[in-house]
Amino acid sequence: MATGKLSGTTGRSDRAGTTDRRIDALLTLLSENPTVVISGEKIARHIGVSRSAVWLWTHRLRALGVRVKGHPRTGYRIERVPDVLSPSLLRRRLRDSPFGKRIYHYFKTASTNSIALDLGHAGEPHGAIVLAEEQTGGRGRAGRSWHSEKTNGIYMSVLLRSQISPIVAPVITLVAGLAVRDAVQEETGVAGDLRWPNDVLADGKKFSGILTEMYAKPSQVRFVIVGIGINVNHTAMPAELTRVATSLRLITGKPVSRLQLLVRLLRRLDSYYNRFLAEGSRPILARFAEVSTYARGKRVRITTGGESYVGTSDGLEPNGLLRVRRDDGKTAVVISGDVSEAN
Amino acid sequence: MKASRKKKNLSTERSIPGVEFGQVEKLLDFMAAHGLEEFEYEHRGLRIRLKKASAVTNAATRAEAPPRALPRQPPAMSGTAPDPMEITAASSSATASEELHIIKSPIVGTFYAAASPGAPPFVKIGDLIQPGQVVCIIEAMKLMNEIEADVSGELVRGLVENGQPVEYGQGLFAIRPAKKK
Repeated sequence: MATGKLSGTTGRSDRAGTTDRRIDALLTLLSENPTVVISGEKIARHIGVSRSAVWLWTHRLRALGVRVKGHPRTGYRIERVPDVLSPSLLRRRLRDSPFGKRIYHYFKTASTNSIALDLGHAGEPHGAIVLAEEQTGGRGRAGRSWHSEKTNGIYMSVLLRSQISPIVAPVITLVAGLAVRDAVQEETGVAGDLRWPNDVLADGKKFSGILTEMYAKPSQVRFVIVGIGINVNHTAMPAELTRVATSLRLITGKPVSRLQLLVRLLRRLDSYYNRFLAEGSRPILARFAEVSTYARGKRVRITTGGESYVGTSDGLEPNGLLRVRRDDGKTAVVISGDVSEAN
Repeated sequence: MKASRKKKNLSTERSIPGVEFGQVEKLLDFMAAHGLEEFEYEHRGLRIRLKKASAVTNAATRAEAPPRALPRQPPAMSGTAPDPMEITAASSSATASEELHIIKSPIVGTFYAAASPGAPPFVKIGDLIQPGQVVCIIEAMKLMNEIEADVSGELVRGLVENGQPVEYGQGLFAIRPAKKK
């Protein structure tokens, strides 16, 4: 795999795996002219390599699974526009968004959240995103893993920097879940359900999970990393997950454009997040109550800190925590833990 | 350190201007007798807020709030104004001769001593802590808040059990700050 740093970044060893700028440029050039044969000379000029090196870069692109036809004498043509989350294709569609400015794309990495954390500590600005076509160590809550199949999902971490108090920061997890849910509905028509705080489900099965990490001083958040995993084009789930997990393709029966979905997601995230900064938690909680069947009147089992009980959800506290009327008559306020549907 | 371990009780000699611990204890009894979880009192610029540690739990059981005796440990207290004074459960157990620094929770959440179940804890008693070092995670709503030490020094005591809920501002660790050169 090609290594090197993406344009606009400071080269640090832990980012050496980012997709090479030239691969990105080549992919974009071919993708945007899918019916045209492009001469080696034009490619050389466009991506900034010598004419004799063009074959090497097209070879590298092929090694990444992109079908490119042709050779140095005839020129090159892409056979099928791949659904790669190419930074330049994304950037072009996100010109007016804070999330289109700094994009770190990896074909393969352990965890996008880990990279985003390093970026956060290194002073990377608000809106930077880290994308991976494949994660080898995708993380979930409590050390669980996230099944991150190659090029079939969206595996992304978003860096947020705002002058907010840590006390209100947990509401960002609702913001992220709402953004995923709405983006999916726009792109595919699937009206997902939100399982508090932010799993996105269809037909009772999860297709998106979100893990948020925060670094804060007591009075002020330094930065927040929102890690989002979406199962998009998986044609099957691993056997151990089929009962609880699904993908958008399995739900709709059709392939879904990850690029389009991701653009919608980042736009939604921007708008919900700005709404949260401007108006506080209230509109976010109200929207959650609108679209989540888990917000109120849902029979739920809560498992937290070794304790497990069944009850009926009873709305959200002003800070976003879930109220549950337990079957034993007590009222519980859930801070963390696993929520599942109960009978 | 030896002396401070025993001083779990607010009625010890340690004095805070304007606060008589005998009276605080009466307040605690009053709270217990009436099943109160929180009590706030303000007089001449001195404000005392008493809150039972059990007021919010991982799944706070309100109806359960027992009118039984309060735990032996004092509940978290915070006083403000006229001088910036802070009394917490943790600082009350430090001796006057030993100023311990308390790392506090910036949010309501669940305390985790390690990154994942079964993993070694971030820190243990006796560790020398550096500023910026992650000492624990507080989780709320699947938001993992990595708590960093804000001073350097020796970790003297953990104040919360793994998996337990914590309040905003609750002490998490006591650190004996390194001597300034």
